[in-house]
Amino acid sequence: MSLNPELRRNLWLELTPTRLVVMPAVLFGVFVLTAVADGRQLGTASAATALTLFVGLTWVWGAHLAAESVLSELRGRTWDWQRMSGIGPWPLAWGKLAGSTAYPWYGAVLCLAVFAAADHREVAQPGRIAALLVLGGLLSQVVALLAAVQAATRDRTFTRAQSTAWLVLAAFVISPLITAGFAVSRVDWYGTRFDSLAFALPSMAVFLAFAAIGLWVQLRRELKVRTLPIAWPAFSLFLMAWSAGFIVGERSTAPGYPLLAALLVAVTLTWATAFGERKDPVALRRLVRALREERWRRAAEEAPSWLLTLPLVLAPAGLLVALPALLGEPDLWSVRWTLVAGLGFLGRDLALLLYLNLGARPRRADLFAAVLLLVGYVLVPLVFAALEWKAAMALLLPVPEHAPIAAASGLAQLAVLGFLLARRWRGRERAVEDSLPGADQG
Amino acid sequence: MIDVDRLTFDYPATRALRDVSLHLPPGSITALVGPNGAGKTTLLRCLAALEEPIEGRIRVGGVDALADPRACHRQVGYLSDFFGLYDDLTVEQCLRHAAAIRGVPSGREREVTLRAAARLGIADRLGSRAGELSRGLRQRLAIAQAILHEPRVLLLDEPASGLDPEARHQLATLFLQLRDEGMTLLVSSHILAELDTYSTDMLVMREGRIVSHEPVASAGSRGPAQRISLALARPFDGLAEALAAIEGVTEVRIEAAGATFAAPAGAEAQHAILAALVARGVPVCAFAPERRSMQDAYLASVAGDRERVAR
Repeated sequence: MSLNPELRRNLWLELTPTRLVVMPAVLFGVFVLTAVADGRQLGTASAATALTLFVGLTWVWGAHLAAESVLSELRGRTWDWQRMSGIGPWPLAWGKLAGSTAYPWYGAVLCLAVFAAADHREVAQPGRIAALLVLGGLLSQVVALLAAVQAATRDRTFTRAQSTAWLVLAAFVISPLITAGFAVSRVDWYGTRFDSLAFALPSMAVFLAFAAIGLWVQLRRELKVRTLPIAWPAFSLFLMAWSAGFIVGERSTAPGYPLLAALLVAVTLTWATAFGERKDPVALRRLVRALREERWRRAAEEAPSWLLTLPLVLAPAGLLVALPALLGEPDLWSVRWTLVAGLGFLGRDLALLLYLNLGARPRRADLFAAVLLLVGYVLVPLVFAALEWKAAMALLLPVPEHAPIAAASGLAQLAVLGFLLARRWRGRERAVEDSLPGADQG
Repeated sequence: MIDVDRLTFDYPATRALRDVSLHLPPGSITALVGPNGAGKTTLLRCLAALEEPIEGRIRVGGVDALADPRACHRQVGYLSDFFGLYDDLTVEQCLRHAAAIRGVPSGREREVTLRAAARLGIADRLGSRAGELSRGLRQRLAIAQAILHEPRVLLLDEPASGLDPEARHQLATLFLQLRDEGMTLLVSSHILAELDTYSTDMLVMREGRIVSHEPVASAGSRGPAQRISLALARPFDGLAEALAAIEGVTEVRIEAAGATFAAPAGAEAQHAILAALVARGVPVCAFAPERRSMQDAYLASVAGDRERVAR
């Protein structure tokens, strides 16, 4: 059986004889120092240092290298070789992941060995902590690689500094789980009390599985393998259900609150993917065409993730609008109008993002949209609050106290942006039909 | 080997290809020419199944490139204009990796690597790092990577840029060799004189459309007829009548010191025409197939297209 070619290529680069000697030599030096501090033995300082180095090597450096394994191919213009190769999406995924991070893992295994040999009496549940750190390392690397592939699809040109951004993203995704694992002793989930580490471990394993599936799906797209978008809605549903579990039980009195939590997760995912994904007019054109021609499978393949998440927003929102009593609030119409207002503002945000991205210079459209939304959601409402214009705040936020005004405002803004978007779309289509080639391509 | 039907490709703000249809026969070397921004690179990337058009059909070696891009990738070797290499790997590692990701069994990796290296004249550089190679050697390594899996179709975007004259000559020889082995080549280049030496067909693109697609006259071996240029030692009044009387001669154009005409291709047929002219007392001092360079053909195509658009 032959070695995965992508793994072999990375191993050629990463595991040179010199580097294989340097890593243990450096670690040996570090642990000699900690052993001296521990009174000439591998004591608690050595154990703590081993864990810290493990985190640094796998979570930080490993995640950086995982992201770089794709971004460096874009910079080096070798990505097309990969895309045209016979290698499948899964071998490419694990070959990149295992190969690019092999060297940090080499050091990390040595650190774990030191941790096992050292006095770790001060660390409660050392086995679970070690497992959590290993899973955390894997998750951060998979998320970093996934984010890099996603970014590669969005924009084909990258600077080295941008891989650090994916690293930060990976850390952002993982840190809540890890923090929960260490900081809280108990977790209430769907009315059952769990030991926090015992809860964090399977949670992280499921997140890791979803991240790996996401990576596989994203690479399938890059390799031009047609893929039905099942993984993203499945992950969204899982995250909604997982998050709602923290609301169920003693903290919540009304049965609608877990549903509200799930709704907020779906809204966040819609928003995040709308910003994170490329708003490619050509893909949108293909989507519109597939919908017009009633080719549903093709339309699903072309649909952006935010559009796939939208039904997961509308379903719980619709249920709560229909049955506001689930939230246990006395003013049912206020609940209804607040939800309608929230949906209106979300629709407006999506329309605004698309409108700006379909403009003549879409390069900074997302940033501009973020600034506009920051002004609309934070700055101006703060000014209104300072002036004590409570009702005016409802023009920009789904404020329950003035829910009808908020709903009217949200829907009106959605209608205006929708109209502008439709007009820009038609104008753009005409412009493309009439355009002379040469502006975009060689 | 390549069939394209009504291909339309959009970039976000422009239509790069409009209703492009073409057919490339197996064993042909087609020169893809046109001004910058004509859509050549986009067309090559669509044929390589790296980009997806908004409309149209592409078949490469019988494979529907849009329905099954991965199967198309197996049929095609593609060298992009701005290609990259794994600079930290040696030439041998680059070629072995290219072989492995193209599905060459590990047992045959070394053999395939050495063959590709020998073909491109880089067998003596197997231990050098790709990043240390000159531009010309990098180009050769990239071409070696592209043909290593013996694709049926080879798409090359400016393959000779940066090569010295000797390397260009070697490249032309290689392309002819690959053609003789049954490969179909589509080569985009601005260096028409170089394309002239090995192309069998010329595909001219302008503003996302195909302006012309015709056999290259100098290729000699294709097409049933050929234009012949005739020069006289002294004026001869009955030249037009003499030519009209010879079987197979058509499209006669009388010029100041001779004539041009269309005649059947092939040495025997042309020998018969020359013998008939001499027998009729025509004072022939030169008789040769008219050589219209690719440059002339290209400029004529573009000028014709400009006139058509202006009308």
